[in-house]
Amino acid sequence: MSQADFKQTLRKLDFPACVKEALPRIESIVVSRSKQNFAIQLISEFVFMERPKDPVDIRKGQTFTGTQLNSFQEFQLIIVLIEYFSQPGPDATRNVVFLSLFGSNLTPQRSKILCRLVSTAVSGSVAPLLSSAGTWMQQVGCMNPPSLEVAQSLVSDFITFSRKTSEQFKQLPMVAPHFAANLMTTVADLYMKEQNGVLTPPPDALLDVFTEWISENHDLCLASQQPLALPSGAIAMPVVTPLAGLIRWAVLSPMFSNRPSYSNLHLWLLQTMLQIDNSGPPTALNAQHVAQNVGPLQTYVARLVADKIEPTKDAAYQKSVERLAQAVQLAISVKCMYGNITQLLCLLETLPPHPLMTMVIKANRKN
Amino acid sequence: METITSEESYLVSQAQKLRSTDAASAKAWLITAKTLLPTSFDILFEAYKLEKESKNFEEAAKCFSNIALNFQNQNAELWNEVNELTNALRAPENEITPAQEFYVKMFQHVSYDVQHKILLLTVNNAENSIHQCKLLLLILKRFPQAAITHSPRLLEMIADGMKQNPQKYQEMLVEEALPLIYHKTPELPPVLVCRLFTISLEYYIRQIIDDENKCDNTEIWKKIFQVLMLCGKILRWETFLPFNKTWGQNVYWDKLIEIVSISPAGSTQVLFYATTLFIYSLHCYIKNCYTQSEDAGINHVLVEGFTVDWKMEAPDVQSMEPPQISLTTPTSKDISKAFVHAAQCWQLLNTEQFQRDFSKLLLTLPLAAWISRFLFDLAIYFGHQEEAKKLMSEMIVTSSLVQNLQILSLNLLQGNLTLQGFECIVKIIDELPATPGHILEHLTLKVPRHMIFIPLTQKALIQYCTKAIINTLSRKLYEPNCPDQILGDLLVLLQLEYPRETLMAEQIFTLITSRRAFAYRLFTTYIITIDFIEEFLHIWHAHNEDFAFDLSPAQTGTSVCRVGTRGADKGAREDFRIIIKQQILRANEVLTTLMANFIQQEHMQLARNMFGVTVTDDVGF
Repeated sequence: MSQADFKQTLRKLDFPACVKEALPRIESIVVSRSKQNFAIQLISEFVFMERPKDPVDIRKGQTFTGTQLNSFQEFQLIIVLIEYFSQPGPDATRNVVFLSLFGSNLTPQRSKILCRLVSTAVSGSVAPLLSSAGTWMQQVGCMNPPSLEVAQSLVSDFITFSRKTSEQFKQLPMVAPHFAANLMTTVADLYMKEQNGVLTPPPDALLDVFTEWISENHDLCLASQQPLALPSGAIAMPVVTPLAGLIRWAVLSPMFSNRPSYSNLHLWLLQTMLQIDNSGPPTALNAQHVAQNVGPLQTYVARLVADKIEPTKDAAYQKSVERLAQAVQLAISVKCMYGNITQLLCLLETLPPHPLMTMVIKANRKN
Repeated sequence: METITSEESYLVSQAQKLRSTDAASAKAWLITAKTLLPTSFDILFEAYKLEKESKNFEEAAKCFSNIALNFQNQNAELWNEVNELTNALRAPENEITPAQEFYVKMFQHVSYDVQHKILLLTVNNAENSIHQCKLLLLILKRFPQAAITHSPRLLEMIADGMKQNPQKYQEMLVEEALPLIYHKTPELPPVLVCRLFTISLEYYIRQIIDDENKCDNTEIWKKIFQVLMLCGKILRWETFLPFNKTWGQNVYWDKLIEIVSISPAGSTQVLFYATTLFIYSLHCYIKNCYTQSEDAGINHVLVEGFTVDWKMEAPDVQSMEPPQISLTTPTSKDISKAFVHAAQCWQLLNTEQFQRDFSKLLLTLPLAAWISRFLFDLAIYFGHQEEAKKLMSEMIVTSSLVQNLQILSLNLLQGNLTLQGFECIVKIIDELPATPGHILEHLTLKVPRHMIFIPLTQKALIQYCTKAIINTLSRKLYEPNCPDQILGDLLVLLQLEYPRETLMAEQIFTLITSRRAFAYRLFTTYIITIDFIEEFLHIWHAHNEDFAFDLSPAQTGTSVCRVGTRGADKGAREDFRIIIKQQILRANEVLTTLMANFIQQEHMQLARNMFGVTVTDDVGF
């Protein structure tokens, strides 16, 4: 069937029947990696019901006037997509379709649908869809806006606006470990980040869930490193594990919280590092990311100094440096940190002295 | 070096500070510390303690494995933990304390290899050999596949330990070590194997002796044979037979002979097989002879039997042919078999090829009491009177009844009953056992010599004593003018086995008839056998009531009341009838009791008649 004929056929169908009909065709096109444009057209016109580019279609007088799907249609679309992604088949195919539907430049509508789709998949524990979403996060970059938006919406759905954390969310590492790991990476980036000199701590419930995740799944943080199922020839984007982000949480937390969860989180992060197989080159932790802790610490020290408080006498600061020193020491000793370690050590040395940090710097400088 | 010590103590102190308030942070400190100073015992041990405190079995196991493998000789604290661990592993499951439970669970998380290594290292560090043995046992139990490697060392240590604490090591060997190697037989030097067998044998024999009253030692013998088979397997001996309660010793003896025939002279396999069979036979024999409790069964004593030719002088005691042993009770068959096989083994083991090793072996075993009894019986069995006499003086016999019986038997072996032997008879009658028993069938046989295992029962003992007196007293029959009193006494005694000894009774009656007079004042007291009374009546009638019977129980000979036709004393004739009638009425009285009374009451008269001496009453009646 020619492209035009296929479109004709689809146009005769109602929504969401046309989506159901279009998806297998889209799948075969993206898998064969030819006629990509046609796939893009089909996705736009028959999946998301966006304004058709083809003027021929206007005379058909169909209901393309509105560029937005209404809530009900959105709901219908999400149901169709979940059904589609729940079908058995190769992971690589599912992943490539997912990436075609949701690229890195998302229209607000697609972005909104994506957030709802993932949220629904979490609620329904739809493992294959979550697995594809995990791959998507890595391919678009965990710390890039589309991922951050999805992460933010999940936090809203499952933490902020949820009195009690849902079991499905708690079970996420078991259902979709790769997705859960990438989600942690992204979520970690949402908090404790110096923005305009302000650090926002994560919600307590979120911290507790993450700590529970890691304590029960010792290698969860390393699940990001699972190889992606992509069609041959596709290039996997670099992996960022949640380690650096979560270490930042643990390190910076003493400055505004003494929740025991942070102690546990910190311990489990160290334990996770101990699990790392250090036979290959280090991949789990970027020295640059670790170095990001120094800025906020120095800001804090500056405030202490301004208040005429000796940093070495400030318990919160001591605790922070202690955790940072421990994380650095572990990362170096298990050889899981890449990047410029020497530079990191130099940077650490600029902090007010702490016995453990001094020991760590001394122990690692000679190498 | 100094900085390392101070760093070490700084890191440990930081962890300790947080231990009670923030265990997670304390752990984080120690994890870091371990990477900074990976060879620090203090840090590793602190980490272990922390994991132990939070009952974190898996992590504790990791720490413990690490320390135990890397810091073996260093720390008292560590060895304290190791001891706690091994104690916990050894503790019986139902007696385990909560603290011990931790060690057991932790140990389950230690990898199999490391478990093995830890225990082995522990063995080498144990402070004394009993502890080392216990640890090795633990290893063998936990790591059965290592049995072949470690068991020689354990067995060697046990053999060495025997010098210090025989009981403990014996028990350990038999109850714990041997069961572990039955199916995993290690290679061991022959000397050690023999030593182990001797130790086990000693242990089991003690067990048998200690619970003498438990009549069934089958289980113990099964185990002894098991150990013997094990030793045979290790040393590749000819296979002997396993223990089977239903097989007689002859089955084993036949097998032993077969092995002897294919073994070189003085071979260890024959020594051990024969020794085992010897002790087995000896035990069966001793058990049934001496050690039965009153209600469990009847004890037996090996004594001379009587021969039918009562006129003959003492049998040829120097005959090389051992006497036969006649059946008395159902168990006596087993006893005599056991005795004969013990004797055969004893003879084999006392040949020149084994004598030295065998006597050395015997010295280590607690068999002295059994052997001395056995040797005495062996001496009388072979008719070695002098040796028997000597052995008797050395033997410790707790029962005076048995002792008197043995002296009597020895006396009879020597030939005639002597006054001393007779005194024994009186003592035996004085302390008869309570068990009534039965009259024996084969007390007297027509053979040159035979022996019996006499059951210690009333009837059998009275029968034996009676027979001994009859045999002695009957010799007087052939002397001219044998007094009526002896004839009467013989008739009394002959009643017991009547109608067995009719020949002698007939002779006596002929003698009485020929004398046309018979005076026996004990007639009314002791003659109750109907045939004998009828015989008297017959004599009386045959002589037309003209016969000088003096049967009244009057005490002195001066006032002889003659019953006879010549005096035409009708009253006296009436008396005879009355006496006869009276005696007939008593025909159903128990003869054994009557005999015992007779011997007891009339012992002085009997002694006078047999030995021509007047016995004073101070022989201990």
